[in-house]
Amino acid sequence: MTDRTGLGRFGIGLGWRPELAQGIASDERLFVEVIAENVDPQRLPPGLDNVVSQGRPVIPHGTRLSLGGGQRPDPRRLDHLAAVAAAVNAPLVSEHIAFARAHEIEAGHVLPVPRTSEALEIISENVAAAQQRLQVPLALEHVAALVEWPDPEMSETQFICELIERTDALLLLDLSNLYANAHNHGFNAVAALGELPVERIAYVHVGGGTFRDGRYHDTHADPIVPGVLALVEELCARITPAGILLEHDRDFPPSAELRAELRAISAAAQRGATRRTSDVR
Amino acid sequence: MCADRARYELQQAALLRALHGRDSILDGFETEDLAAASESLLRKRARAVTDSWPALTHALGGEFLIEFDRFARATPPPPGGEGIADGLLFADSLDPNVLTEDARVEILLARGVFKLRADGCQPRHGLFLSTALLNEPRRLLIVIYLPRLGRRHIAVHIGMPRTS
Repeated sequence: MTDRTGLGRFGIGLGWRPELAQGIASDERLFVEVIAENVDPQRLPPGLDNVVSQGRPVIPHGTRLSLGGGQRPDPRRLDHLAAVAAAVNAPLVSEHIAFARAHEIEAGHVLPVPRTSEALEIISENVAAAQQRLQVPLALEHVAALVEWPDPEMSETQFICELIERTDALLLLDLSNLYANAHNHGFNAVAALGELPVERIAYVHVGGGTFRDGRYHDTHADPIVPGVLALVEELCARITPAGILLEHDRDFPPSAELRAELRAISAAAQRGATRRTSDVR
Repeated sequence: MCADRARYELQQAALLRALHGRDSILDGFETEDLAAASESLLRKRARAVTDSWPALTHALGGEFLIEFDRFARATPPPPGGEGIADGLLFADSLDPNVLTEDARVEILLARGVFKLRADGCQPRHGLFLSTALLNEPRRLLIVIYLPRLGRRHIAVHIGMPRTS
């Protein structure tokens, strides 16, 4: 089964949003990721409670822990993430290798960290503090960045590898973020894929995006570009990821279009799995 | 090695000020990348507000982005509540004369459910009462939040519409 679909225990997933709740409810094959900050663990949103009771995997995804920040993670935010994980029987939780605030100034998004040994030390401590408080494994997601810090001491893949090794965290591989950074900062995404610790991948994100003024913007509101689907195939030609999840945040397309996008992801994963099987033979 | 968390956070705060348009120059960064990231953050923020505040967005029409850009440069995003909280703060920053009745109703109804605090926009739990006098038609809008019962609102008609 795994070889045929190219995917493991989670399969194909969709980020839970109120606007998508009905579609998610009607397709029991989908696994789900939910933005942790938008969920009250005492009162799950309508629709999500049914997904949980069906026993489908639900992964809380944090966006505001600021694990890449100068402050240690806020215990209240960690407690909330842990409570959401318990409420949805999560197999794991995920957060970003990013900072979301500094000196009480909110970013309004997840922003890249400097790729230095000092940052590695600080973030490793922050991740350890989070792991200590959480009851389930933590997966770390690298972010799409339009701006890079000057004078990096290592490449993005080296930074991710080192952080994963130091913290023993899992990796949430975002193929759209990888594509975006490769396009915007001029490196080869396929080569970068070969440098990442793919054996530590918990699951995979893909999302839509668009090109504006020569830059690729990871909008989560546009169709998936062919280059990202090519990375799905490339990844599945190397390994069997547990699952691939589509993130769609706004400008929601009709359900037929959304289903077509999910099928395109599955087809790319299958092509990759077929390539792998052929290579083995 | 012992990491200097304070200095590290200071650098991140400087980047945030630049991205939010409060400082224009940041040494070492690519100016064009910085501008693109700043524009992207502003777009994301504005979209979250337009999604949550249709009447307010409609009231401002073509001026929305200009007004929101002015507001966003002076006010960093709130720590929670996303577009709802940002929109409440934005509405507070506007000249009340530019608001349509629909926008005023939208603001009042939002205040009936959410309250702004230092840590963002939080759901109400305590008693809340507010009113607004509306003209089309002339009526008094009363918005109440009652613990355990939630928000209730009624409009009491109080006479003929005003003519100018």
